[in-house]
Amino acid sequence: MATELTAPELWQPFEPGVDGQWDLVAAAHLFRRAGFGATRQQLEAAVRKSPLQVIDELLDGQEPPEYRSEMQTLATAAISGGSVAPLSAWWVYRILSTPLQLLEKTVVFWHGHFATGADKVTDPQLMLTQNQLLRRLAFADFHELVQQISKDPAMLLYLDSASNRKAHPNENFARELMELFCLGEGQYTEQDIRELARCFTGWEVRRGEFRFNRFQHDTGQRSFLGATGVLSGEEAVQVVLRQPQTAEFIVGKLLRYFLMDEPAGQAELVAPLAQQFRDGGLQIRPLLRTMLGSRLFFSRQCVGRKLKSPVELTLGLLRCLEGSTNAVELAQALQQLGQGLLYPPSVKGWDGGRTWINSSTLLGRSNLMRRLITSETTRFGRLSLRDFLSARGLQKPEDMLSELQLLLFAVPIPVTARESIVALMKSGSDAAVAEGLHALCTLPEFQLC
Amino acid sequence: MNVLSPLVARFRSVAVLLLVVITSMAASSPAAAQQLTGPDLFPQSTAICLEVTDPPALLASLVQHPLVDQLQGIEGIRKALSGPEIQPLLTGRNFFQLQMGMPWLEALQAISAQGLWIAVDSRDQSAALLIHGRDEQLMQDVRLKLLELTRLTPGGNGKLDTYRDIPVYRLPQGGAAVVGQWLLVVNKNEAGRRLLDRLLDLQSADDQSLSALPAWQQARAARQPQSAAWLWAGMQAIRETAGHRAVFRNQAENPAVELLFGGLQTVLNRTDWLQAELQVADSSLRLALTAPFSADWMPETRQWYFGPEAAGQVPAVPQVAGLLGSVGMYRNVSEMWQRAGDLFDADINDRMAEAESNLGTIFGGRDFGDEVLGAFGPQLLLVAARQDFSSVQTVPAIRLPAFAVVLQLKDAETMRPELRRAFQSAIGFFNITGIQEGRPQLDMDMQKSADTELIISRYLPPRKPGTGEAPPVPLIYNFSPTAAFRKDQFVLASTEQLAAEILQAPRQAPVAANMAMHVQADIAGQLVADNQQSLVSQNMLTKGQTREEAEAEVAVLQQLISLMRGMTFQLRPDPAAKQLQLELDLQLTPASQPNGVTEESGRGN
Repeated sequence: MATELTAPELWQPFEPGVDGQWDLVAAAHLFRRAGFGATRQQLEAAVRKSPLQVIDELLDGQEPPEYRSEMQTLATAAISGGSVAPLSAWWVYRILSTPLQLLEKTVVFWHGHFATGADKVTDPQLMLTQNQLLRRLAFADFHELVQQISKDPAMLLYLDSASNRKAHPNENFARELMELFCLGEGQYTEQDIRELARCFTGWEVRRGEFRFNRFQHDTGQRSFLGATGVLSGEEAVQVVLRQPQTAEFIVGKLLRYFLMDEPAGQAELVAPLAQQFRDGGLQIRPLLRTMLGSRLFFSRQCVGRKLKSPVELTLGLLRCLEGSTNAVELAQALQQLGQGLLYPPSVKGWDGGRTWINSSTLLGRSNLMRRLITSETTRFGRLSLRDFLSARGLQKPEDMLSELQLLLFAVPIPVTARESIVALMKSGSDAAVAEGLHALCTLPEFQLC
Repeated sequence: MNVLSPLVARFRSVAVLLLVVITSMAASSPAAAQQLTGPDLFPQSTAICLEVTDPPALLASLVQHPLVDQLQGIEGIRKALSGPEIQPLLTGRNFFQLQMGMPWLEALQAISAQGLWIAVDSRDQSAALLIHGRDEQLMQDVRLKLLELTRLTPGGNGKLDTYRDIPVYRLPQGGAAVVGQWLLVVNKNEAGRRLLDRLLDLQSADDQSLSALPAWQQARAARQPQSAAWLWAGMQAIRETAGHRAVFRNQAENPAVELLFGGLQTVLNRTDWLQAELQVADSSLRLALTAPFSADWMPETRQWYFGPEAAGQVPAVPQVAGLLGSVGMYRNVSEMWQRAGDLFDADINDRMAEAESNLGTIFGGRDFGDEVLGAFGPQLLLVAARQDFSSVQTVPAIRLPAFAVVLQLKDAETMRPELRRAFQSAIGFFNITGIQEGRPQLDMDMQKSADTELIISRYLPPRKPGTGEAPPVPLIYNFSPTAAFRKDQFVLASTEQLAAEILQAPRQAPVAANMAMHVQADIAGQLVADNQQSLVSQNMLTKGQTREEAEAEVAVLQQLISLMRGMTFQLRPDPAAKQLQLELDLQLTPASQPNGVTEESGRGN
């Protein structure tokens, strides 16, 4: 179906019954991509609505005030010890418990995009402030997001721009603004970097807050990316954002994050959506709505065409099975697997896709899933895994497997694997069921979403 | 949530073992053995022997202890006790009652009516359990009814056998048998044969009996009549078997272990026996360990531990408000430091030399072991107290107790300026590293009165943020490091408030002990209440619990603490009585006065 359509047609809204079925399987795909995964109850509720209704709820939903307050209290407690590590655990807990999965998924995206690492920014309050900024503006205006992140103390500290003087303009932030945040590689010259950096002179971080030091600001005329004048830092950001490549760059990254790791004919696919993004004033929410509600999103080009990141792998399993666990240990384990929340590997963030899998990480993923499933603190719906499945009327291994296929797998479990896992679970004991789930989690098919 | 899950799992396996054990009994009835006690039957090679002379009384005092009612009054525990994990135990208990035809407690009391002993033999590290039942008929009934259960248990790896016409139940390792009123369980076959021979042949204690051993008889004489359980350890046998272990070496693992237990290590190497007693009362649980002792046992290298003639005593504890606890000891630390070459291995000595070099810088080049530590008397005191934040604007999110070290200066006039300078240097150094690490700076102040002097350092208050919510106040605002002097007293405290209070507070009555520790439970409960929010958050993150679940767990913790009044630990050498005693005393809250979390006994907020 989808492969015969043109790029603009692929971005047309998915029509149930015409472009494919809107059923539990399709809903599970939507929740895996526009979040981390859904329970059967959530899937059944979703299929009673249209796909766009579900997407709108994901985009427009509001966290209940009491939940926001709870998370704030928890965050405050997490940072009160002065270390960032508990804050990483707090984020894990938040991802597990949030009613707005798409919001958290998008915050993880922006965290990788505007990568800032706690191994360098050791003040947990600054990391929390940035995290809250990303959450507040995750679906908002990209202009606003970039303007605010440009003055974010954690970001400026991470890019060694806490003190930017006119005598020695710091080119680091100027370079990353163009290369990593807005335009991509090869879209600027070294001269552009030097000139742009002059606009940010006088931008400083003092005692954890952004400050503009007018005495250190270069007031001379500069020229970059086709603009000339005595431009302030804010105006310079606008110049960068006005470049047509900005839309292509952001849409391309979102396409790879939400839809497929290696899109064939990316430029062609991106072009119509980038145009829409530009025309809409770089508003993120409508862009995501189009992407997630598109024919392409529900097509075979997209389903099962992404490798799960460690966060998707672990938190996805828990979310689908109403799981809870030791967030501190899980946060540490994610870091060991290369996706520590608040600990991106470099200013480039995570590459994603195939880089998640190699011989070492494959073993690490398997070991982590075993630890997660068998941990004393891991519960499913506050029960053991077997009791959780039993409480849902799933007594036989075959039934359990069918349910897990629906909730956890984007592609079918091979027959041979199915048979051997049924045999593993045959005794029906807690340990056997856990063993069976672990075996499922080590299948190549489970690595896809 | 089930706070008892690990206990249940452990208890379940014990219950299964007992069931198998009792089920395995077979019968015989030589009359002579009934007049004996466990130590008459155990050999002189016994290394450890635990004796419960009156198990029915002990069981009754445990089961009917007011603490049990209080524990069952805690909602979290009540819920756990009615949870699914406890059900197998309850089912087992009900089955046992049904089989015995009497309540489980009554049945257990009858089965162990005349005593219970557990012994470990040093020759082959075998362990034996001997239970002396009420009467032969009862033991027969037990055997017959529970043997049936064993037959119903599939997959068992034991078998019925006979030894000298006595039916025995053999397991791959050890086995069990009933001889008259006696139940015997062993973990090694050879040990089982030896004990069965003695049970069948012995008319009264002989010269092969443990009870004939002088070291056992001496210990027995020292036993208090009110002991519910009594443990004897033959140290000679233990040393012969386990003399290679670290505890019997003359070198300590590290200086902290040496400081706390160095002298005890010597005692363990010299004494013939140790005895431990458990005493259960409504208002306390007391565990006392006694050993022979002589001041002459201490080699020259450890004279610093108990002091001359082993007469060193702990200092009196100041009665500061919100006193959480204290650790006092008599130790000549300077001498220990200077004898490090005899006490520790090369690696520790290297590290101590490095520390001495660094500390010498702060103390203006003075020799740390000799001139600095040597300037203090041997009475050491560590004090911890709940902090009062009521008059403080900067209240940290996590509220830690304040703590202080209290020392006595041998020559106050000389050492005061030295220590003042050293403290100022240390704060200055700390400020320099603080700048590099982005920590707030410490501001110094000095307060002097007629006979007291306080050198105070306080963190500058955090700047209010220009925008957004105020961040939580960091942990460091629990501290205002202070050095204080009064006459020959020197206090190094984490807060100025505690330092000032220690100088002024009256002293509690002195305790005749070489080391004494005390923890006040109501203050501990208040600390938990102070940090309830942090504990709940920590619980949510580490256990993945909801707020309600986490709050319930923290509430259980608070309630458990409220069942206690306090805990004391004392080390008391008595050279005159040639005895050394270690005592751990847990004081319980009377059932009618649950401690709760009150403000009266501690600092107010």
